Amino acid sequence: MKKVTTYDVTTRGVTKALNGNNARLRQLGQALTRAGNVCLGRYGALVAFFGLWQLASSLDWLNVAVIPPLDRIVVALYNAVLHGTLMDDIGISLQRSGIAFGASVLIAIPLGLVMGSFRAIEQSLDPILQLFRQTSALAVYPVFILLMGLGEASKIFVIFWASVFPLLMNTITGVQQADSKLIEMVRVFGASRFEVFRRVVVPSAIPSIFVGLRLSATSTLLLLVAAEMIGANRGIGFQVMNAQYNFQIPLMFAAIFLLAGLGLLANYLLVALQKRLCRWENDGST
Amino acid sequence: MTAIAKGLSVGHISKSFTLKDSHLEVLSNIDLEIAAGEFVAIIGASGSGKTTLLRILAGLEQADSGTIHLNGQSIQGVGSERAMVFQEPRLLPWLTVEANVALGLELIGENSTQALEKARHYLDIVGLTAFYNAYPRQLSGGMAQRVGIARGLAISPEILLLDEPLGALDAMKKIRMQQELERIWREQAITMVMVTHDIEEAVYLADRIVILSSDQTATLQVMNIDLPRPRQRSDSQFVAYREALLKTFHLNDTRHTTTATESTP
Repeated sequence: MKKVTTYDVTTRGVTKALNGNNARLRQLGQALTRAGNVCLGRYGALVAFFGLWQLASSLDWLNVAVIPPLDRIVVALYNAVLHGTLMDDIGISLQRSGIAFGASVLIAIPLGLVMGSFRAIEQSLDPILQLFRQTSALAVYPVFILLMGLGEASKIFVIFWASVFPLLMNTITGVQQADSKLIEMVRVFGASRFEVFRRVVVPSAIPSIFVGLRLSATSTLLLLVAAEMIGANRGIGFQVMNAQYNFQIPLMFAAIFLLAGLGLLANYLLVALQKRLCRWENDGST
Repeated sequence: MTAIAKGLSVGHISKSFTLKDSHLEVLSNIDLEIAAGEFVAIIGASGSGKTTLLRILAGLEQADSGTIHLNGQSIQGVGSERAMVFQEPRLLPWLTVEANVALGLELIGENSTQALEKARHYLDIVGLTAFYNAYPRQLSGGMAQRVGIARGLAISPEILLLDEPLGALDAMKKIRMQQELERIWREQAITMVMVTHDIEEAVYLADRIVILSSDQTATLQVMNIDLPRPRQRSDSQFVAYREALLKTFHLNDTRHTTTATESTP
């Protein structure tokens, strides 16, 4: 989050009146109002959305049977986690997406690094990868079911299928974007091909790899839900459908929010990891 | 041509490039002797092949024909007895300043603790003691270029090759860096070969100026700058050298500017 400076005459006046001439308190006050303004600017629309939802639902502006108020969704979530099977569903969903995403990382990053480094390999594999990439994972899901059955394998594989390509493509791009001038610079110091790869190419590719990881995580969750809706009897995606069939609408929304939360969490973790690994991009802006 | 015992000896270097269907001869039959500890500036118009010559000396490009000897030994490809400072600082943005300087040392085989120690020593020399742990993006252009110079010096080369290292700096910074460069050259007793298109810079820094013309003459013009150091830019002899060089490039012809103003309606 970037620093936002606001010059709000009223808040400044209020802070001044409250703190008199105590400069440090005034600074604290200003910092707080600034932080408050930043929060309001960033999350205001979100808060308004949920506020309006709660209000519309409690005042019967909406059909409560279809759009229940938020408090009932929270209660449904609480009960399902404590007394129901939702924890198991979360567990199995995390397992499926975790294995698929992990496999994508283990395959796409090394393969992408190799493909990006050797033009001949990239050229020969690119057409088939483009074909696979453009084939919707959902379209080939029936094929995977025929080949692997309706169990875990086909689900994990279809999620893997959707998540591997964004990561692979972005890794290749990252490698190819390595600055030739930096490569030349290390060559002057006698760097071998491997040293060039290790010292320049891989670090250069990291930001692009992270773009791939985030796209890949999004695809993972998307296909997780799709796979669980089509042929599962457990999982968060299954719970969304199941709750709808059984008219447990608050539970349905609870599962939806859970999925949204997982997406946000995955993204947050990846961004945090990227910030750690790419400290040089953010540190001490002058 | 007899190879001198100590220093760099370039014999009959030629280089041409083939672009699509045109054949471009950039360097033809270049001979050059550079003594150990000398400061040589190579100047010439763009396209005269001055950067190509430097890149051949660095081992980044191969000459079509000719030889290069260092202290009597034939050299080919890159080597740690030569270091290069580029026009752009070319620092790895993900490494700190000290790690960038240590990188060159690690690449020539020093262990990382020693490399870091030496890196700091050379950062002190270029006046960046306070910036060991800064990242390149936090540095100004002049500071980044100092890091590039420290990285080159750190591997203790016999020859530091500089490719328009101050070309991107503003006028004030440029003058300060020229003074710095002269101090480093004097203190380190190192051979420096610097490509520049700045005539004043060449006169200020160089013992000898090698002039490459773009019309492919086989012989180079060489001008000895016989002035005491540190040189004064306003000194009459300094100005005379500058004028002589400008004349070489037909740049002191006042009619040229007059024609330009006259042609404007």
